[in-house]
Amino acid sequence: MGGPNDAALAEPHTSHGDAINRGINRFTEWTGYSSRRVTDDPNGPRDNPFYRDNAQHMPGWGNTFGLDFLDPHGLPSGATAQDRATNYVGQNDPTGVWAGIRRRLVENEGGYIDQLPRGPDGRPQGNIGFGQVYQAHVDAYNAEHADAHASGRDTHAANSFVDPASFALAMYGAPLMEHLGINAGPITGASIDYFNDPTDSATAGWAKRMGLAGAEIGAGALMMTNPVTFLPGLATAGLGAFGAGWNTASAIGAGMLGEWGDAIGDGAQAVGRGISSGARAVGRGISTAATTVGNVASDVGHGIADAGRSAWNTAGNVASSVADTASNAWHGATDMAGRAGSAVSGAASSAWNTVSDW
Amino acid sequence: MEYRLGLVIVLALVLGGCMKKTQPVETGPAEWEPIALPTPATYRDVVVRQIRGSGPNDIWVLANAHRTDNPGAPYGLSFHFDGKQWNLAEVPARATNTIVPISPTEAWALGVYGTVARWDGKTWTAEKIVGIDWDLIDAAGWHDDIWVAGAGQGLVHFDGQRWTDVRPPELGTMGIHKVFALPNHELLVPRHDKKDDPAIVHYAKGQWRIDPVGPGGIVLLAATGPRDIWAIGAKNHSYHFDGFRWSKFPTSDGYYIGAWATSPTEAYIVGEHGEVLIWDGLAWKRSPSGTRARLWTVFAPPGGKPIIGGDGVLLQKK
Repeated sequence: MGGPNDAALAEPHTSHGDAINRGINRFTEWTGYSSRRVTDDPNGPRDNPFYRDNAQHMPGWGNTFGLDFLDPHGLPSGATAQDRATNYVGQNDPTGVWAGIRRRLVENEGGYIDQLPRGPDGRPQGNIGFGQVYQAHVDAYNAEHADAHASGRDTHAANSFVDPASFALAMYGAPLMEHLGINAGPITGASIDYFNDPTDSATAGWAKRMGLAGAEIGAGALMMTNPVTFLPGLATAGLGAFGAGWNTASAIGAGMLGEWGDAIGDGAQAVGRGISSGARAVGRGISTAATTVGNVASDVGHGIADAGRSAWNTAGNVASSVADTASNAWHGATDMAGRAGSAVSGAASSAWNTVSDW
Repeated sequence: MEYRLGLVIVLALVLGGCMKKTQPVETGPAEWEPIALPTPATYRDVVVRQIRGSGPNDIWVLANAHRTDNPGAPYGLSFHFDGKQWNLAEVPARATNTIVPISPTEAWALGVYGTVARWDGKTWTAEKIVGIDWDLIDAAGWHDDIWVAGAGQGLVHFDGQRWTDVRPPELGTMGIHKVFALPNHELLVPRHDKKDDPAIVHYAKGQWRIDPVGPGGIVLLAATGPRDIWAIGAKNHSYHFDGFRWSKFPTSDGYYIGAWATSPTEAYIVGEHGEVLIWDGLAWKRSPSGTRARLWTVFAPPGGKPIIGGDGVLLQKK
């Protein structure tokens, strides 16, 4: 294959960079993900060259802030960031969600590139903006989720695209690692797997991002205790707070509260079934125990009655009556206990069935 | 205090709901036996992604595998069965997403970023389809008439001369992941729309038409002809068309990835956790595969035994 920027955008390999990335790869694999490139061989499967082929049209330090020297490989950092992203995720894609998002991103960003002014050679000139790249990602996630739900391919996937501040870190920050000889691919792939996985539910994605935001706020607060690191700390804490707010709002928009309702329904059903069967078992236990105690008491009562008859004929009749009364009372008690147990069991069962149905 | 108690109860209910897990499938005594592939010693962890063939003496297997000298990267790998033995094939690695075997001297393999390769009976020739800058996921067709799904709107079509991006309104605006070619040269495409129940779009003799199926989504297609068509959901349901009407049949709570039909009384579905369902003419029944691996694909050559493949396995019905 061999695109125009393949050589320029090749991942750096240094002893320290490769050592760091081996550690990242081991950790992500230990947690059930993969942060390895889909292939290092241009003739191998899965490689997506779109961001290399269109590198000059991507936003970066130079064309956004005038800081060209910060763009790695002499090409906009957005090209490095997105090449590493698209080629370090989605290694295992049974539902086709990753493939769908990859295509939608190419189409969405390709559409923005097509709208750029044309040069004398008829080719697009200049670059698309950070906002367009961000919107392309938001739209790709939303459209793919709607598609996966409608087709039934993946009704669980609903994790909306991450907040713009975190995305800016990925677009401008992560590629800086490549100036230091560290391939940004594994950390980019891992961060997408952990915090931006489109196959996650809205709740799972939100929970992970809240964990990250909490860590950022905590670390920022700690840094703010030192005057030297106060400003970076403030920025870190601010990033965390912004991410927490933005991602909560987008998760709600993606149906997180509906997922909670479903989970509560499922949980209530499971807990209700457990309590219902537990209550039935307790009721049956009480009933059985009460019947046993009643039978023993009845036997004792009859024994007393028999003894009374033989000892005192006259008084024996009275004692027998008393004993029969006691026996009847115990039988009544056992019946009542049994009925009470059944009633408790039935009431608990129907109450929880009602709760679970609701 | 009551507030805290209520919070604890709600959290317990949420956790209870979140932790509810589907019971694992009981595999039981295996009804399938392994097939040995001639995998090169430098490859490991072979994942069989698709099995297709034009007959019992022309079966192709597309797979991914890790190379021992580069353990991180999955490479495309392919095999061919000529009726006597399995051989390593040379399908271009970037075209190992899907294959359409037309005959022993014609096959089309498609893959990433618009890559297509053609088999002429002796060699594979690969090219990049100009203007198709996305992955090609599934394909079907006949001689010089190939249709391709690319996980987005519309289809890519080869008419014997050139490839074009085709987007008739009947296909709707949702992504297309499956296509199926009937022997009578009728193309089937699942259609999903936010407003309507899923449908199958038929293409025959230059005309597109929409045939509503039923609620629940269509993830897989399998058919032997216009009077034996399966539209299968990812889980719980399937629809069968007998030439007159669609009838719904339950499958199970598993997640299904591959399907194949050989007759109105024999069809197969495979999916997660080694689950295999076989249609016997009346109902879908579990067939213990002897594996818990994810199964990606199933194929049954006419007159031959069905073959299933997945993560590290290629199995044939005993």
